[in-house]
Amino acid sequence: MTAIVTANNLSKNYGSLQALNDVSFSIEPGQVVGLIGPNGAGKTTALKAILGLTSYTGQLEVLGLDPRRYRHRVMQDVCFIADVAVLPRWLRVDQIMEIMAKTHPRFDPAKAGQFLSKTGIRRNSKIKSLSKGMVTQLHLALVMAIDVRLLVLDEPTIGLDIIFRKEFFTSLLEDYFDEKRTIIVSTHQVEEIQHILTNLMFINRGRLVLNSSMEEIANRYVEVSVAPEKLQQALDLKPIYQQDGFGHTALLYDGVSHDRLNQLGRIGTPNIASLFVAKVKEDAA
Amino acid sequence: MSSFAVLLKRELWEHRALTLVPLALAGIIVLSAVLLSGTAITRMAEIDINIDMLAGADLAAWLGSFNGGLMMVFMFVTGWVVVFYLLDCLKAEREDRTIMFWKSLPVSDTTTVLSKLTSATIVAPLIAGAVGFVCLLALLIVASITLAITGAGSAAALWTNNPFLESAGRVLYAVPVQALWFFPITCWLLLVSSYANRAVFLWAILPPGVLVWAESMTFGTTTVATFIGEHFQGIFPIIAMTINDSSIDLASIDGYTGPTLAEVVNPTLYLQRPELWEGLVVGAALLAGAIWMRRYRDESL
Repeated sequence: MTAIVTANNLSKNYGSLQALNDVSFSIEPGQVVGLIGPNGAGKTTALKAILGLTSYTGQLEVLGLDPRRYRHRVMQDVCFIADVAVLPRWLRVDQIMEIMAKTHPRFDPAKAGQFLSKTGIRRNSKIKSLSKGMVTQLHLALVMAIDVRLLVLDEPTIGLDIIFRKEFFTSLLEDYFDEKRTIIVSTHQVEEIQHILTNLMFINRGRLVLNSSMEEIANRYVEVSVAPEKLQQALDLKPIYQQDGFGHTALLYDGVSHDRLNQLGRIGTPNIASLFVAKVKEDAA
Repeated sequence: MSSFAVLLKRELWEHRALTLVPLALAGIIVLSAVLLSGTAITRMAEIDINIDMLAGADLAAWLGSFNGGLMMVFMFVTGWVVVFYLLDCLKAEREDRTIMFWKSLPVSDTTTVLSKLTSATIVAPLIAGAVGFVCLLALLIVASITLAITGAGSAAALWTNNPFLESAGRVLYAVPVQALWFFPITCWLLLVSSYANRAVFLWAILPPGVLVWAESMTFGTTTVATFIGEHFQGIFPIIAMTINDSSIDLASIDGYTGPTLAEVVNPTLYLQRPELWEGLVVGAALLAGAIWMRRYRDESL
């Protein structure tokens, strides 16, 4: 199976600020990759490099092509919604559909129409007159009607209220995703997309601090809820993260056997947000 | 090809002035004509003109220059609209960040910039010409009605003697000829738009100004100034002037009224001018710069 994206020693500086520091990874077909990191960690820079929108040093291939050089060819098989989900406000909905239909060989207007009919968006509306949530719905409808191999979403739901956010990811998963497609989605709100991901990439200060599948994460990291009387015993096993709750302490372990942890308390799959904080602290140390 | 056509349409959707300004101009001209005709009708007794005094050939010549003059008004106004359009077209998409959407389409930066160049140099003048032509027909209708009411001559003569085809042909010839002549200026404005985030007018004027100044300070010459001046005023005045220069003795002959139109629009004279080819080379370099900027400048975070 050939990788959709391969990055080797990818770096990018903005003046003295190192936005990406020697990052290497590869993304396979069928993965839904969550790119998680705080603001300014380098998420957007990484995505922009993949989309051919920024220069970089190191090696990067998207569908076998250098995206910086061949952006317009890569864009036949890649689609993206940027964090500033901006569609031209001066266009009408039917006009933007016409533009997509005539410039994108893999855009299916009938499909976009189907998605749109589920929303309250009318064809003759000016994009200017739509609410922010509706513009995002429109953008998603347009993007889902394109038969591409890689979809890149950079903070796609930022600024939307919770109902739109939930709908966004639900329709993405139900109406769009299948094993032939690959999605990279960046966010700093991990919990929201945790359930749709197959892979996780944590990025902090330009460096990749974790890159593994959800399965590996579930096997390797375990969260245990420990009662106060067993806390000292639990701390001896060197948890990587500790969060105090009511009467119990949630402890996160890296590579400790399930059997041993079972004796300490109730074990469960780790909370991604806790795992992220743990990995970032580890990175800082 | 249909993808290029939709890109041209897109420019008209975004930059409404390219269609609205010629339409507004036509509206103003026709309205003024109607008011003028109203005055003529009420004061006919004092004026006492009859267009039948003009013989067929004279009337045709007179109508020909009227058509030409009207078209020039439309081209001149659209020319300035195009200057604003060029300075805005690559800047606006960065300003409102829609560039992130446009760049998500599988359209190359070269195609995008060429669609803007084509809109400015071919589409906009053709729209101005078409609207100008409709305006001409409307003026003739107003004139015909006025003539019918006042009895100041035969309305039919206005139509049968009118060199419509020749006037239209002249516009169709002038559009590509001027497009090539203005090419370095057009491309310079595109480059400014691809580069400057604000004060585009200053960016458009200052660097050439500094270049002109630096040249005259160091070499005492005016090559750059001459180049800009010649390309800015358009090709036809220049050819008309050179014909005049080379035929001074002709001018002293009785009845010589300057070069004929056929001489001025002569393609051979046009193609022989070295400034045309210099302009194309300079323009091509500036255009490449604009495409490079559209393609490689980092979109800010």
